[in-house]
Amino acid sequence: MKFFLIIFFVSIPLFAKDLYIKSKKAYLYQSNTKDSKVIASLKKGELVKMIGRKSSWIKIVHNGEKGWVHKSLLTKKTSKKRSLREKKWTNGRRRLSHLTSNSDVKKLDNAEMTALLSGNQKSLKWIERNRVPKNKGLSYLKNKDQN
Amino acid sequence: MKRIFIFSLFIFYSVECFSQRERIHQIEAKTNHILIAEIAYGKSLAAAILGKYKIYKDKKLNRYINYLGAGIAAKMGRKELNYYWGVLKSNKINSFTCPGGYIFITLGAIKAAKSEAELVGILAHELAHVNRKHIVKALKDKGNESPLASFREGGSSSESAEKNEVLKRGMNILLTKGLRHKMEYEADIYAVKYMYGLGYHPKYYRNFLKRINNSKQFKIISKAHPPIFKRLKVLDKRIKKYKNTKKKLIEGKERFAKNIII
Repeated sequence: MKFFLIIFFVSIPLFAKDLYIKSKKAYLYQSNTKDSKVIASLKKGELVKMIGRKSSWIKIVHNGEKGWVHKSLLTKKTSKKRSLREKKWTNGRRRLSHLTSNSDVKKLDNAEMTALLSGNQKSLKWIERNRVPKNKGLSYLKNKDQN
Repeated sequence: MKRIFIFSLFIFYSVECFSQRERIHQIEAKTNHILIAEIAYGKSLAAAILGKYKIYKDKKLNRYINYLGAGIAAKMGRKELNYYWGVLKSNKINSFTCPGGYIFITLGAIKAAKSEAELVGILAHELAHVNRKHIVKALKDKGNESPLASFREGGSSSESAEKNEVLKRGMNILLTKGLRHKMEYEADIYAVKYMYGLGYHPKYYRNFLKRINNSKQFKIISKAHPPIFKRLKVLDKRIKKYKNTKKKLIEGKERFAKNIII
């Protein structure tokens, strides 16, 4: 009997499988029901060892504590590290500094703004003079295959 | 008795018709005022943009952009507006839309495009901002229901401070803050729609966005836009619709190559 018990305990680490917590937070239950006692709370990305399984519940070992976690909260892959670019995109303020020069991000100061508001009427008139009538533009687009 | 009844009925109908006409006139006048204010504001904002960026006065390029723009606007733009298209001397990939039909594209954005379809995509995106009145809506964000009131006809000189304030807000939207992401996605969706309507395949606009996202050559001014990978997701959903279309959709590389020599 002793021999079998030793074999059993020695074999646990051999068959144990590495899993990671997928959700932001996962509770470690004493048994494979949600009504059982919560032993510990696990965080996203934490490594746990699978030692058993019963329907949709996985038996795990974490920091010497054994318990059950629902399978939907576990994954084989490490928590996906977001790329630097993705991180910057998701953070509005960082996004600004990431892809733009400082002078652009900097809010225009009052003096600069006042100078801008007087505007460049000369260039505006030049643009207005170069306007193409809508009908001419339309026929230009229609002829796109020929040109 | 019968005569009195008919007479009173006639009077009632004439009064009703008159008041109806008055109401229509009032609505028309109000709409005209709003339109005039939008154009006046757009013009001032465009002048301010041209104060910051120099205009690129290449006749051939401007002619090409104007012809394309006028064509897009004729089919997809608002009938009550005249559209003005300009090229800005900047290597950053960017484009600006001012209310009232003033649209600018930077030289960098034109250089980054590889075909007419891509260029039409950018212009169509900007046109959608004008059509959907995004800047005006963004100005309304802080609870101000009529932000362009000071730009209406017959505005007093005392309103100039108010005008400057609204212009400042507009400039901050265009140069630093950007529009709400929802509006940018909407403009992208409309751009796809417009491109299809004009006979260009919307996938080229998507390709353009993907390329500038990966490109290190150009400084991408994305501060005013949502992340490109999110925009691509929105575009993919729309472009799927046109996958099996039988309509002839072109890329227009030849004409683009002829006109874009920078």
